[in-house]
Amino acid sequence: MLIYEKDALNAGISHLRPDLNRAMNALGTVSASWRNSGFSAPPGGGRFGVGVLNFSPGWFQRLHDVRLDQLSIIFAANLVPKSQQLKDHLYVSTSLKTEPAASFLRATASVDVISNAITALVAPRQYDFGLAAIERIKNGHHLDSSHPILDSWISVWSGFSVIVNRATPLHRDLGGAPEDFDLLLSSGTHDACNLDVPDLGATLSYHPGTAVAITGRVLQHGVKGWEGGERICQARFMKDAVHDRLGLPKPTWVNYDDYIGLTSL
Amino acid sequence: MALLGVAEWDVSRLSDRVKNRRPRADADPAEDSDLAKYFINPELGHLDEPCIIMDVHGRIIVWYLPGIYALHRVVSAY
Repeated sequence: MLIYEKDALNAGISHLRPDLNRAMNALGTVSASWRNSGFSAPPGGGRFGVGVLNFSPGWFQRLHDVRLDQLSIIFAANLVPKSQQLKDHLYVSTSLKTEPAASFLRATASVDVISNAITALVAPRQYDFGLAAIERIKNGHHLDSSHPILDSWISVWSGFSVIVNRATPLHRDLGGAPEDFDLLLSSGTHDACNLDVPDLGATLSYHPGTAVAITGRVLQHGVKGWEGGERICQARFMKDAVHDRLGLPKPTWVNYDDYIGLTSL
Repeated sequence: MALLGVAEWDVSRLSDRVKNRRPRADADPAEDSDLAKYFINPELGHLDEPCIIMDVHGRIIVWYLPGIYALHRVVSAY
């Protein structure tokens, strides 16, 4: 059966719903960051629930990599992770080392394939470095400990966030290099939504099935809300510190002129 | 239909200027005012057709691809 890729993502979210619920239930026990606010659960919880989860095959262990329901314990026991140094090992995110996450990766593999293809076209150098980074992570030498889930990670991106039924304040993303694109995929069932980019005086129609590659470290972007149905965003990101740790350079800016020659062939 | 949007500033210089502050529900007037001294933002308006947006030197900063995750691009079967 052929299916839309956005529908594959919608279906994949069902695997994550228990983890999303658990994360949301824990938010009341801790001081939530801006990334964990602005949720709007539909009546009855809706089809997809509400929440945000972050996944990475290899990143520096930070507080956001701790399960939210463990945060209060960690604060109480003064076990907050120390600042990371570039020589430190990378970690597979806790959220990725679960059976629901494995089911999600299997269900959305075709979304990864198309996302990789988009990346190769819109940001070839970033794609090359992303691919090299994932290959180096998978060889295990840079990881604190490997995990079988890495065999299912086919994306060239450092990780992704799954954001369900949330309005997102204007923000810039800290983790990437200025030259890096983030790849945002709008999914869900909503009827209307806009991605605001005030640095460009632009609002981009953000229907399900839309992709936006945006230099998110430089350009503010956000979503005030949506109309009808439920909203899902899968935001793919590259972590510049991880690429640095792996011995990879920053990508260069992508130039319009690089594509002009292609059209005249 | 917009195929190309252009900002009349240098994205590299903008990246040197922007501050990565904690997001707020509303705009940050102080930061906006500071940036507005040096960077005049375009007014590209509402976009709903595929396009790219670049800076004054032709560096692409946004690829807008509505509907790209769609049936006619599916290559796998379940």
